[in-house]
Amino acid sequence: MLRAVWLIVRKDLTVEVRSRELAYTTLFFALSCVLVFAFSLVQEGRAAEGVGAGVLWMTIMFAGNLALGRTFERERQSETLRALMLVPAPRPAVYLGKLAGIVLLLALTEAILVPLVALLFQAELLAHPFWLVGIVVTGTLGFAAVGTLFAAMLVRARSRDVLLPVLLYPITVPVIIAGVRGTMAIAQPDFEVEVVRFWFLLLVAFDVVFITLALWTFEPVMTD
Amino acid sequence: MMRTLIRGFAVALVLAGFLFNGTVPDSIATLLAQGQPKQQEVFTPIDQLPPQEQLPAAPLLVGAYAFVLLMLFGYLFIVSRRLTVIQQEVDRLDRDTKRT
Amino acid sequence: MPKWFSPAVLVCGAMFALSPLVIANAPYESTMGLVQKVFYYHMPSAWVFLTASVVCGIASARFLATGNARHDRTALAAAEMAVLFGLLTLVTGPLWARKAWGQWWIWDARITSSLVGWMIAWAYLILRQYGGPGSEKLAAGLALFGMANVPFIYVSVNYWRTIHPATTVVPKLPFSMGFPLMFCLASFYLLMFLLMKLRVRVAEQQARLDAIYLSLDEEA
Repeated sequence: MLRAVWLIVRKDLTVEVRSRELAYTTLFFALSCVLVFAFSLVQEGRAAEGVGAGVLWMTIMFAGNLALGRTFERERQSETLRALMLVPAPRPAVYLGKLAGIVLLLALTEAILVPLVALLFQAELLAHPFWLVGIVVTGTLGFAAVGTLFAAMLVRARSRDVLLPVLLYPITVPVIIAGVRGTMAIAQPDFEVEVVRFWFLLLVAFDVVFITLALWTFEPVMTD
Repeated sequence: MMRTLIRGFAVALVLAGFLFNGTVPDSIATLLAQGQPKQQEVFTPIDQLPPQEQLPAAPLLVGAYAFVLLMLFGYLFIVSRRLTVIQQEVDRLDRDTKRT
Repeated sequence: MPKWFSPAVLVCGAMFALSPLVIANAPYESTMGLVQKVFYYHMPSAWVFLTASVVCGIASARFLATGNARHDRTALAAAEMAVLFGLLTLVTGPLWARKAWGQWWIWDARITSSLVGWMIAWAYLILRQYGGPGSEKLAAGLALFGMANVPFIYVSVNYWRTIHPATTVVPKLPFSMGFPLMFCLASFYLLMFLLMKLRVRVAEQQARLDAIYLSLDEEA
């Protein structure tokens, strides 16, 4: 099963390395988001307290939504999703493979986004790097876990572009709350490790529950 | 057609501007003045609030009840109507297929 | 429709017609005054909204497990109930809050969680309506995810408001489960049951219609 997952990831990586379309467009879109938020929220050259964390997570969610749509659009156009479902590997392997691909893409974007937001919005995000990585990774994983399932579900549906955010954002409300609050707690001058740990553990629980749920429901919802 | 539409719209806008310029209805003005209560972080029961911040309860109460009953009856009406239409269609088709 | 349906509708209608009388005779609440009477419609709406959401979730799980279309129709009807009664809750609440607390909306845990839950129910209906063929299963998946999310939404929204949960801005409502409240609860639950029966019937007949048309197409 792990081998199947690895093969799917490798397939996506090969396609991506050749065109780099997803990486560049997602990154650029993320930067555009940051710009829009900057114009909305920065007043007299300074951002309000704690705005950086909010901007970071809003950007992750918007850029992530776009990346999810694009990834599965690509599958739909080449009808590779159907081919993947016919592969003699356990169905959940397809889900995990796609999930890994999305997480990699978002991680790449966030590697550039996090320092940038910290800089532009005067937020001390990098004060506790291990906790920051923990929060960002678990949050991105939670968002991507739900998003991958929904995007795969919607591949053959009508109005799929607008339906993905409609379905995704209400369900990932705990992720954005925990992500923003956890990041804000990291950026605060009086750092309380208990607070960060709480949000981190909430995100871990969310990831465990929803990845499990997605693995269970992937087969029933993908088959007619 | 488009041009008359745009022209009509522009005239309407100008008229509206003149009409509402300084003649905001009284009740709206008072409501707006009472309008933004200071953000309360602590719950204060209604009889401890200063009298000018107390709104008449009746319109809110009546509005709430009216809204609820309207929505419920509206939904009931829509669904019943849909059922009769579909039921008629099914009966018609049943008759037709039995005849043949 | 079964024989008991029409009499039941009459009973329900009578109960709703009587409810203003019953509510008017309820004890006058001193701290909130007249506007507190909204509570007698607001709380039953909230309870029906929650019940309908749970019904939708369970029916969706059964539909995904068995593939029986009956569960799917129940889930759809329950989702419509959830959106309808959720809307009633979210509108009557602010109308009450404006008078009682001075603000239309406060982002406290219960209100915000209800809003998110309501949006998930609405998303379910949007998916059913615009998702095209095969959206029944997708919507069932969404309902399942929504139900699994309830504890997470509640915890995260609760701690989003205040990291030390001992303090809440809005104190818990003291209410007595007196006769007026029971009466209204009964009316609302009866109505929910009847509306669901009606809506499921519509879905059944629609399915029958589709089947007839399909068979006619195949013959032709």
